[in-house]
Amino acid sequence: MTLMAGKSSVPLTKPGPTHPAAEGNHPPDALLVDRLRLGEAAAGESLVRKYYQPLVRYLQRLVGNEQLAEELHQQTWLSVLEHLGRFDARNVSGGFKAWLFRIATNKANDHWRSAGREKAAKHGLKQITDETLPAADFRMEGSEQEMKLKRAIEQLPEAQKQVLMLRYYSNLKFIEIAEMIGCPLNTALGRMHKAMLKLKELMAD
Amino acid sequence: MEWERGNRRSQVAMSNLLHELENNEAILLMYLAGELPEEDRVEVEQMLANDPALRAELAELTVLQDGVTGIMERVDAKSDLSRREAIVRQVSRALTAARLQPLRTESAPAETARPRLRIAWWAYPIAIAAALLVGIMLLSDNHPMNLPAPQSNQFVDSRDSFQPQATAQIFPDDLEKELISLNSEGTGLFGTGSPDLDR
Repeated sequence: MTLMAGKSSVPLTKPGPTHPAAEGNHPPDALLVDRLRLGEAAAGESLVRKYYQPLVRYLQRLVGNEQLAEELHQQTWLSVLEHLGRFDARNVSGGFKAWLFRIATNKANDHWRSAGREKAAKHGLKQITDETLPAADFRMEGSEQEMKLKRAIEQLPEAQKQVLMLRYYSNLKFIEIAEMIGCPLNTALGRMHKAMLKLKELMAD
Repeated sequence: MEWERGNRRSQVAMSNLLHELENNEAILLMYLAGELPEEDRVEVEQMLANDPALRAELAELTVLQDGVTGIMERVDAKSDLSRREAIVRQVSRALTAARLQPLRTESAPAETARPRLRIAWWAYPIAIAAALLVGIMLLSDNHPMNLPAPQSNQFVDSRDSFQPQATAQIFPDDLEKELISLNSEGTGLFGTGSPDLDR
């Protein structure tokens, strides 16, 4: 009897050079953060470049709009700079990456609160329909699969979507994700499991 | 087959983390993610070896996880972040501008700074004493600026008659007498043909 190894053959976190986990081309976060604190603009650009893809993708999946994701992305980094003096990696489980994604998550949540999304969801309104697609200047990503995934993600409950997207794009540990969003580990794991089941079901339709 | 915690607890000492996980899905997700402590991982593998149903559950979860990963990867691969460089530069410029702004405020040029008036510490009590002295002098009866108080405290109704009151010697005696006599006759200072000012 062959036991499975401790990890899946294809982990849910993205492998490859585009993932922040692949830090071969970038200095460690701690070093870049220290240099940014000293006012080195190049360190800031390095951090932005390092986390650009996962962070923007994460925000895109959360808010379902590329332009909005870019705006929230910029707001996230400005907020990072504003609060950098108070950031201490020793006090944040998951370090700078977890802190960065927490800020991004808060930005997305703030947007939805101001947009009244929660109110719409409580009334059972369909949040995105063909009639309510983004404005004409929104650049259509084009592929049918992309749109199908977008619609599927939008149908996930917000809490489940957040955990699933965080896990996939940030590569943070489950215990770090639970701490970031302020819920018990079991809750985070439960949301993850339900999100995966729901997403697969929706994509199979 | 449900995980029997009682049996496991009696057989193997559980770590705190494994004890906190409430169901099989949670345990297996942590196991698949490789995020269980070593002792917990060993324990889970022992149970998997002895429980076919648990192994089947793990296989289902693996397929589910792989499926979701595959979907996300395929979609992201087709979706091009062509504005990457532009966005990175834009955000970097914003960070630089935000970073420089407090520095500009802190280093204001010297020529725009207003010169501060330096006052020695001993000047303050002297100034207070001088102010008190002036105040006492002003309130003193012997001060030439003080005018004598009116003799009468009775209220005089100006509608009845004009009662000349003692005033300071401002005008010469002859002029003063003339003014008083004019007012007593009711002619007013404007003469008998004075216009009706109340009209």
